[in-house]
Amino acid sequence: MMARIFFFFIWIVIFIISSGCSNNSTRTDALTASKADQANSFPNQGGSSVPLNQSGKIKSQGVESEEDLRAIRVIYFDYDTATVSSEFRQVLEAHAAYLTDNFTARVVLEGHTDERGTREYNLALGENRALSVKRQLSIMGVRESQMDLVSFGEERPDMLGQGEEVFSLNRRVELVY
Amino acid sequence: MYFDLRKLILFVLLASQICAEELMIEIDSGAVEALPIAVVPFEIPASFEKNPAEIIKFDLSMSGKFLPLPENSMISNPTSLEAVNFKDWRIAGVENLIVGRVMENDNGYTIVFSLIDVFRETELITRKISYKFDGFRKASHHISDLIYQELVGKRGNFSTQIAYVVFKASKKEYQLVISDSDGHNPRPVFRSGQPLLSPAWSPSGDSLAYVSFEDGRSAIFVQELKTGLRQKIRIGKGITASPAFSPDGEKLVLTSSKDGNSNLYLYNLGNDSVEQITSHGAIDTEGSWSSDGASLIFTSGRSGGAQIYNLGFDGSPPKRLTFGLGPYNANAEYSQDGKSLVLISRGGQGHRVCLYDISSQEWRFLSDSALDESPSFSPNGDMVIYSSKAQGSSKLIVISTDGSMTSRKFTLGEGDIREPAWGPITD
Repeated sequence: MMARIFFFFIWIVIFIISSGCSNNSTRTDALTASKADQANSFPNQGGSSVPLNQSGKIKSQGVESEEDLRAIRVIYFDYDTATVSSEFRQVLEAHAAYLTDNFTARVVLEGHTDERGTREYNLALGENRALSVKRQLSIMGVRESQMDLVSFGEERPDMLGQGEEVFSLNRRVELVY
Repeated sequence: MYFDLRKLILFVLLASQICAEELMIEIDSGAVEALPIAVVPFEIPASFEKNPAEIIKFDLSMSGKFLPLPENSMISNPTSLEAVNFKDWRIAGVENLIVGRVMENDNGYTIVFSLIDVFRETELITRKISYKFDGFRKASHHISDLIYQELVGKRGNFSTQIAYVVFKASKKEYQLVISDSDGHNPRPVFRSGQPLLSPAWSPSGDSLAYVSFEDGRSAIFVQELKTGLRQKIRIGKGITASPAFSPDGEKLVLTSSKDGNSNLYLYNLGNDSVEQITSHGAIDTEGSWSSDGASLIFTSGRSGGAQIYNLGFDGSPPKRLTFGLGPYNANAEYSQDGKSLVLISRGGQGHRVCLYDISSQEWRFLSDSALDESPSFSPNGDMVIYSSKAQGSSKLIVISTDGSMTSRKFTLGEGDIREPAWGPITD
């Protein structure tokens, strides 16, 4: 759970440093920051002051700015479900706003699971998670042609190891621009 | 529903290079109710490094049905029926005895062996088997098969092959590997930097179908083993995965999410036609055939959690088979007679291999570890191979299905081994 907090924290830090106040160009830069940066940055961070609820997920009380929300590119899921939690509604709305403003932008929705359960069932579950996110974005006005789905099931965990903390980080859909 | 599992663990360590085949075998304890047998070291030419008796002994132990007498408990070492002093073996409590010798000939070698009934003092089988220079292990497995047939009354599975996936973390490489059923003679048949999973044998043993992510997303490849020729199968968008050959070898059942959700499809290998066979909003996947090809079983989330369903080809709706066995049951395979399933079941102890009787709805866990996957019956159904994850790596384990637990683990020097599939009898 801590790793997820760090993950969110580092993106907030990146935003504070790189954008200050919002303008269109820095927004785009931040959105195209590489996934490798995300992966490399979060495990080394300690402490967090960003608004989080007890489960480590973001609060959905309109505290964050749209850029902050859009910097969040991973949607996490509960065990064995493909239902997008309402906690992530504002995050998806922020992405949808960007995608509807920028018709040429495309996003790949990568579905992942934790390692429990069978590999083939998890491949299908990862696909369903990506589909759930796609449906939400569609409802929010994102065009079909802007979204691509791919499931890796349990084959590409974000964190290696076992235990609920690790598992909860691996049950995810990544929005890859 | 635990059964006392008497473990016979044969720990097999493959050297870090996949081409090397030096194995280390560790036997923890014996199967108590197994048949006491003695495989006397064969008389071999001086140039031989390995005795066929060692291979035969390993095979028979692995089956869980035999308890070979340790070599240091043997009073004498006869190599033919005439040389046997029956009293030596009655004292040791051995019911059957195997003796033999290997002779050189112009083309290779000839093994003459006898299976002897100690109490009746008669030979049950005497055979002469000739083989070429590189056929030593094959000839030994053939002898094991003949002994199994004679004493158990079923075809042995020792001459078969297994397929599995090895992940080498240091190289970030996935290898699809085929080896003999005892783990020897591993040959990689495909390598990729992207995940490989779900190998499935064609009924002839000539081809493997498997899932590869080499193009960035899942697709099925059917690879002819002799030529290495590969045919890619992708059905529309989404995942294309979970292949299983029909018993006639003409079709694959597979999973596709081309219409948004994962359903089962039949893919005709002759004309590339596709037929959708399940249609449900929940996940349907892991299709597997009955041995007569008349029905399929698959994993479906339609009841809310993963359970096993049966689908005939008579138009009737899928029928749920697993009841009472916890909230998550997946990756099932039919036994040869269609009466039971081997599957992965999640209970309080984790994901374990379970044998489920369809008509009585009774079950028995075959494994006792936390993260087990991919159970696959041997062709005669007396053994199951599966993979077991622990501490970030995965091993293959062979276990007997009759309750006397026999297991065998393979570990590589690095990386992990997973996704085993037991190949068919091919000769």
